[in-house]
Amino acid sequence: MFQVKDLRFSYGSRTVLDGLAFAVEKGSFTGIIGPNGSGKTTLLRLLTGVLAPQGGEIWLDNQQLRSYSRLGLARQMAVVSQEADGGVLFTVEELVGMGRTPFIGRFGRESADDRQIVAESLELTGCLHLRERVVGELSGGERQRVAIARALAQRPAILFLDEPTTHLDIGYQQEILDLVKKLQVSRGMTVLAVLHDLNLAAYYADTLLLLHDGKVEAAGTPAEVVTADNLAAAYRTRVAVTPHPVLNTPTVAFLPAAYGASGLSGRAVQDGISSTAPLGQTPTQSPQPRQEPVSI
Amino acid sequence: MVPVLLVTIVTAVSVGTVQVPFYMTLRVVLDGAGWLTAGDALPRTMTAIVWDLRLPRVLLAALVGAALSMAGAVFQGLLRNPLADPFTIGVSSGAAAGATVALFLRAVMGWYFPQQVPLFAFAGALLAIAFVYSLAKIGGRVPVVTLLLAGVVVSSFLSAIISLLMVFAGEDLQGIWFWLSGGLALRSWPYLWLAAPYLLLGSVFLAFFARELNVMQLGEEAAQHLGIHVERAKKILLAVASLLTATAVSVSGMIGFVGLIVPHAVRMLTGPDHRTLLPASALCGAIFLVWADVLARTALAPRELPVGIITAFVGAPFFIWLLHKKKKEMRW
Repeated sequence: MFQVKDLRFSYGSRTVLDGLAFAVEKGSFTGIIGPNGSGKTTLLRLLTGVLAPQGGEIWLDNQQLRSYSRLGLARQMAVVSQEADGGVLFTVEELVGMGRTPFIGRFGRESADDRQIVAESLELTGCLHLRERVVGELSGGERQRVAIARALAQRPAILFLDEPTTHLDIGYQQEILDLVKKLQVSRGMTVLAVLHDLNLAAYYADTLLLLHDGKVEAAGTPAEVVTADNLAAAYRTRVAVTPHPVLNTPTVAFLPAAYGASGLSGRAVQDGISSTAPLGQTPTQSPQPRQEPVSI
Repeated sequence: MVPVLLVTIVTAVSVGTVQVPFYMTLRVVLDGAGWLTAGDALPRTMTAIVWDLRLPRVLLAALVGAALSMAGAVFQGLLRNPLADPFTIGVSSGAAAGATVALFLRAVMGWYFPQQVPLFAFAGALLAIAFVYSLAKIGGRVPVVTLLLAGVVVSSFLSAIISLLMVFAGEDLQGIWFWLSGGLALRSWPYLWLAAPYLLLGSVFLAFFARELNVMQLGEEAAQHLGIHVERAKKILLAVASLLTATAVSVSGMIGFVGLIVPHAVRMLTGPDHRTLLPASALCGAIFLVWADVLARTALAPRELPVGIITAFVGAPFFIWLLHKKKKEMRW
């Protein structure tokens, strides 16, 4: 679906993406992970055509991304961004209905089909009971689900999610990702999601893309990417990676600094066996200073 | 709403220092428009009052009220700021500076030509917007924050120029005070013909962008993801709303609060959907300003008050009430 070659982007003198290359398969769920400031959101904005690459190429379905019109892109892809949608004076139903904008002419009104799709999106995201409410009165979690409902109302072939579960508790995090996963499988929807939570990323994504210092640090299946060594290099953190008790996918466990006192410090632990990767040691290229701990 | 506006217009034409009976007004208007030939049966004084004096003024009030309200709704939606009004980004001070220069030239240098004040005001407003726009532009984009900042800066600078000119001209520049307060006194057909095409075309044009305005409420990036050309829509809306405002200001002076209050009040009634908000604001703005002008004419008759004073007297308390009552909804 996407072919990315030598993608470069900087904000002024600050280089954010420094030669990214990867491919995204149609119908796959790709998780984009990486420390703060590693360019995850910038990558998403480039792939959705909000920003233009300063170097390299992005191909979508064998066409250069920049050859698509705004409307053409809106008919194929939907984006749930990090910030909540504005438009707080609208009702939930009106806001979700805006997802149909790319399919309605300037003076057209919503057709029965459009209303059907809106109702379905509301139902899928568990927002049906909120339809008459004004968006400004909703809780953060409800607004997040409304934003996802609006994206689904676009019936996108590609769904972009930028940390879609930030404001949600664990129950809704699971519910939303389960829903996205279900749509991916049942509709063949391609999903690209920036995920903060490494475990959720490993459980739901087919492919992971670990960004670090504007480059792809690792790419592949969760088992290939979520290793103590990779995470140590990207996040400068002490972690142990063990198989999930049920799924057998890699699961990240955070090792607090106190663990170092017991004599096993500075060791990444993989599958219960100490690996040789030195941890807690500053990598040669100094990454962006961390502003908050990696959530796990 | 449309019938209310029509009744308002006819009633407003009837009311004044000389009361004209309602049916007489109707007959004169229909006769003047050529739809009814009452001919010589109508008293000459009545046709003079109704047709030559009051009707153009009332129609102009309706057009200016509609234009300001609609431009206000557009600016509020575009800047996503409930405090925005047609004057926010410097249109008013540009027009005021233009008008001051015109009056200064007339009073101090004796340079005069017909329609000098409105034409200068119009030019001043357009220059101010062009300047604000170029100041706010960063690499082909016009961020809302820089637009507001540039508007404030340019407004302050132009106010200083106006004050300076007033100091130089002294007593001779009394006219500027009346103009700055906004008024429709002695506005007859030439003014209407000068402004009407712009006001009508501009208003209709803005209504075409209701959908863009709706989607842009989500945020600029979200609107782009829904296929809206945000920067293009922003430029077009800014340009047309500013033109509309400049035209309104150049014929009527600075009538404040209409463009701020009317869209708010209408939004409370109709909700935030610009497809209804824009036309409803236009109608309510027209009705509001016609009545405000009636008050301006009759409150201290035979003296006339600037209509801007009336709108401020009504508008400011209303706005304070709105702030208290609707605190929650003001938080965009």
